[in-house]
Amino acid sequence: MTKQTDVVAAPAPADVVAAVHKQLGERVTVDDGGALVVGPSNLIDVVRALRDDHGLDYLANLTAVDWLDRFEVVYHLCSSAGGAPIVLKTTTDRANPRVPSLFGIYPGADFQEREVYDMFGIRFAGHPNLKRILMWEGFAGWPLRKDWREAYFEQEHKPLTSRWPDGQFFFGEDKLTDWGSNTKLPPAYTGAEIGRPKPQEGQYVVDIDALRRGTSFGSDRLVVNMGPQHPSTHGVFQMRLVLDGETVVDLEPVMGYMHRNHEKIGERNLWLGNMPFTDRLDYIAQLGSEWGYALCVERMMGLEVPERAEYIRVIMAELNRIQSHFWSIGFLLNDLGAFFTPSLYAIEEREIVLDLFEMATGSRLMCNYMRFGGVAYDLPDAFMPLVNVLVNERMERAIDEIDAYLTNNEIVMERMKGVGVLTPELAIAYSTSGPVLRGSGVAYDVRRADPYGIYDRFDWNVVTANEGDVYARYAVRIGEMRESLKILRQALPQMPAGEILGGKKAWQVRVPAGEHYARVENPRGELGYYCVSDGKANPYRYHVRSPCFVNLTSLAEMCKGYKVADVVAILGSIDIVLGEVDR
Amino acid sequence: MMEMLAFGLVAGVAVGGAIGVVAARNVFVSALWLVLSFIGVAGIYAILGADFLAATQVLIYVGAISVLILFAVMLTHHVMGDERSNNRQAFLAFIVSSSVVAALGVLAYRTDWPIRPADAGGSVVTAMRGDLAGSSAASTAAQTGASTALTSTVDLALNQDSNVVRLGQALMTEHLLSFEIISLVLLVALIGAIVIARD
Amino acid sequence: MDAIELGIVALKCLVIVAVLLTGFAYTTFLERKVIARMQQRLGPNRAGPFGLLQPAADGVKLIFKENITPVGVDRFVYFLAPIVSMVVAIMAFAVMPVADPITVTIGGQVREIRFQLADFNVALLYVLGITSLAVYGLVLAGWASNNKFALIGGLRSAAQMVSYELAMGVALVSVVLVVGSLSMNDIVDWQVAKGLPLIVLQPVAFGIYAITAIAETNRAPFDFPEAEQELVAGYHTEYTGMRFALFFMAEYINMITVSGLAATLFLGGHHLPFVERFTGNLPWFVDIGVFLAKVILALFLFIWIRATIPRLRYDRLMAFGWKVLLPISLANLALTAVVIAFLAR
Repeated sequence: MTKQTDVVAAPAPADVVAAVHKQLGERVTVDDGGALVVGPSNLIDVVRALRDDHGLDYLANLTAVDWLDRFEVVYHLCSSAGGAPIVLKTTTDRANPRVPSLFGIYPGADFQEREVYDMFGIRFAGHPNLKRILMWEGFAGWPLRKDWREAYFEQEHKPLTSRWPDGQFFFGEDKLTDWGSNTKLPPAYTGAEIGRPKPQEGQYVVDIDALRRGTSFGSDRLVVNMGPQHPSTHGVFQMRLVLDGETVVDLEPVMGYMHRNHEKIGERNLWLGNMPFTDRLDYIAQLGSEWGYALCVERMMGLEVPERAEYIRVIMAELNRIQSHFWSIGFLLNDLGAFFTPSLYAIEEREIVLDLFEMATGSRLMCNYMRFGGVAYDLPDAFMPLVNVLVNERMERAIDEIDAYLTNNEIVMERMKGVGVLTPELAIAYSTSGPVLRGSGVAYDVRRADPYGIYDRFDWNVVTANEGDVYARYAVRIGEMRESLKILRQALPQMPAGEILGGKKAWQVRVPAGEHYARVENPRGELGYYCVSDGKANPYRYHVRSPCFVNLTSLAEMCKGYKVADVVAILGSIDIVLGEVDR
Repeated sequence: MMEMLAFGLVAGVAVGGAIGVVAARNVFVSALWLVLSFIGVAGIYAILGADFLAATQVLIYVGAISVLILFAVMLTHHVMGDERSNNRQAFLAFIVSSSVVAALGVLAYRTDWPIRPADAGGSVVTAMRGDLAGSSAASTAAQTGASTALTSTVDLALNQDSNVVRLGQALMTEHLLSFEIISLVLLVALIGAIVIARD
Repeated sequence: MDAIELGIVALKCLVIVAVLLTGFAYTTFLERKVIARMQQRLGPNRAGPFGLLQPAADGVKLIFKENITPVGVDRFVYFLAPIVSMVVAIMAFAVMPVADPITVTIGGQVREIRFQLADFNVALLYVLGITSLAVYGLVLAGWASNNKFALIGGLRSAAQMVSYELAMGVALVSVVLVVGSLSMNDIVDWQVAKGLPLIVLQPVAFGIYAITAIAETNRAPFDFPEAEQELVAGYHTEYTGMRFALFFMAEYINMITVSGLAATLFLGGHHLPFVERFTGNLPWFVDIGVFLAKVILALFLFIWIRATIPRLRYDRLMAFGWKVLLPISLANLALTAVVIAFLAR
């Protein structure tokens, strides 16, 4: 059923870049940061060569940066066998931004390109369904462009006067950043276009009538909007289903209802100010999200993390992973129609973990615990005995209990086996990650593929299952909880004493100019942070590669041909958190 | 008097329902009227004392067949629309249905309805009770005699008032051929359904 | 039929409705409490002692809630659907015997009072027929609501009811074959006379009845017409306030009815068939207690199943009904017929 595999180490990115440069010669250049730079006209050829000749079959991340005189589209490609990603960049002019779409090479580029189009207005030629994804159709402006001014926060005159009587109150950030003056609204923006969709060039319009024309045998097709108010979409998420009877003919995920332009706000915040903000992304796996961001900035600053802090991070992240998987299994069962009993049993341990989080960090969900170069507070004295009891005694029993009740339950197997099958090839092509990818038999875990922290010191396995169905994802989660427990059991006794924060405590850090893409294995998959610094007090570009968002790319592929009830189970098996999908 | 009133009521429901089927603008509503009509017919059976027939009428026609009709209607296009059903064959339908009505009328008129004199507090209706099950007064007696063996073997503790036993006996003896033919029809329908489902 | 008799019948009607509605209220209470305990929670415990007034509070809340009629519904059918559900649910209970008849003297006249509204020869068929009408409430609501979730819920209920009624009917026919009567009282008396409940003689029929009864009442794991995770609330998505409450009541009263039917047909009804061999016939109030205990046991099973089992998939359930339950019940029927014919020889 599930098997544990070790991942083979892949060649270093620098070697790959050198080899690519040698093979493709003129068409690519290498910039100072070691990134491949290619012109839009050569992009397709180069990417195809990278995928076919250099084994870079996994598009980890796709985003763009507004350099005021040009747009730079950034791709992070890596191999599903492991290894750090190589960076590929292409630039396009700002007046008529246009880049070929990678949809044909990596279907996983679908949503990510749509997001870039939505946020920057960069058109991806050849994308079959290029329309806004997070903002609504008809929204005026491209929110992540530097000249786009966010309503209220970035207007020159605040609509509301200060709460302070003399109006002299200001934020410390106001003096350090220049967001009050470096933006302006596009001239066309009047606000009048809001809510009035304007069909644009290349815009995809669903031909509902064509979809409705059913099979020869008469029953009509039905278009059902599942969500945004729906009990099993795990939040304000919508699936537009085309049904033939109860069979799903087509599905389109619609998201962005909870979009708050996390990245724009992140670019306005100070570097450290983003740390609590990352908690709001995946609020079920908050500490993992913080770690990813801390990792990215630490690497840009070249900070060393003290030994004790590394251990604390591993312990927190693995506890986090276990409770998150408990949550997701419990709610997967809820999605199957069990009346809350499995989920209430599953989140019993989660409560204890959250209590421990509160003990160590002061908060159950919004922990704000990691710092650049360590963690914010040392563990309280009472923490270790409790976590030892939890890890050595309770957890194992709880996992066994869930396993015993659910894994061989006939109805559970009936509902999950053979449903939502994703082949390994498709799983890689769709850039899925986490249990979805590993459930399809691809032993790809960032902790092993591109190690960070101190995961290389522990003896643990990457859990995979080959079936690629909902049941496989469930089984992978059960297996991963056990592996996390294994890591915890090794980490807890080894925990050294000493510093918890390298360098001095500072609320304001200086990050040298440069860029980095750091990724961690969050319970839901590869969580990446792409940060660009221009040496100022706030990030110049702050991008979150959300595993839930990218995993949703494969949802339609997984659901076609199955029943309505299966769609709910499949969505549950992807285990999305809307805070992270919509950002 | 009470019985006449009750009969008038259920007959009205049956006929009114039938008119509704034809007159309704929406197919779904037509089907609902049909349900009402079936219920009316079940009421007529009940008044005639054929309680078994009444119950099965409700169980099968109302509870199963009409539900299937509604199911099929709901699967089709424009369920909520106010569209007139296809009436291009209205004239043909009129001819067919009027000839059926005429044939039935002639049959009903010509049949020598075996009406027994009112006895034991009964009425015309009570007299007709046994005949519905046993089809004719003459044969009822013979039948009862002929099938006592069967009754005793199955050890029926049935109330002798019930026409369930007599109905069963009639089906298994006198009307065996038609009974088997009906089951053949059902078999054909079943096979047809399987063939369609496998396509 | 004189005035007193008419009065008695009217009184019986009132009592049935009152008892069923109270039963509904406390079934929901029982369900919430039992499920809460199974989920390591406490359940309702604020209104009254042990939360016993919770159903009353719920009732008051539902009565005072606004009845929203969405745009685009077929108003008459939309209004009719919950009423159909409720009426049908209450009607089915009319033939249920809950105790032995007693004789009382009213106005110098000795009268027999039956704890049953009516008994006629085809009572079992009557119950089957009436419960088969229950689907109309769902189908009408699904169609009239002008909502796709409701429409799918209605479709599902139609298909499900038709499939499951067949297996249920055939399973019950084997009971009828054994007893030789369609009358509820005859079936109960037969069990008392033979001294053993029919569940012993017809375990397969009982199993099929139990499964199909859950499907008939749209309870988990067969609650497809209102499958929350898929269809929001299925056929009653667009219903609010008291109209929704009527559907809710109908569901629970149907539960009580099928539980009562199970008690009557398979568990000896208001008697304790084996025990009464030694104790003799028990007085009427014990009868009522026995019947109630059996119904509550069945209701507990309903609740227990809901708390533990995830929902099946709709198409698999249909396949199960047609490919497993129906053949088994037919085989059971044939076997029963053969055995009876053989024994009678």
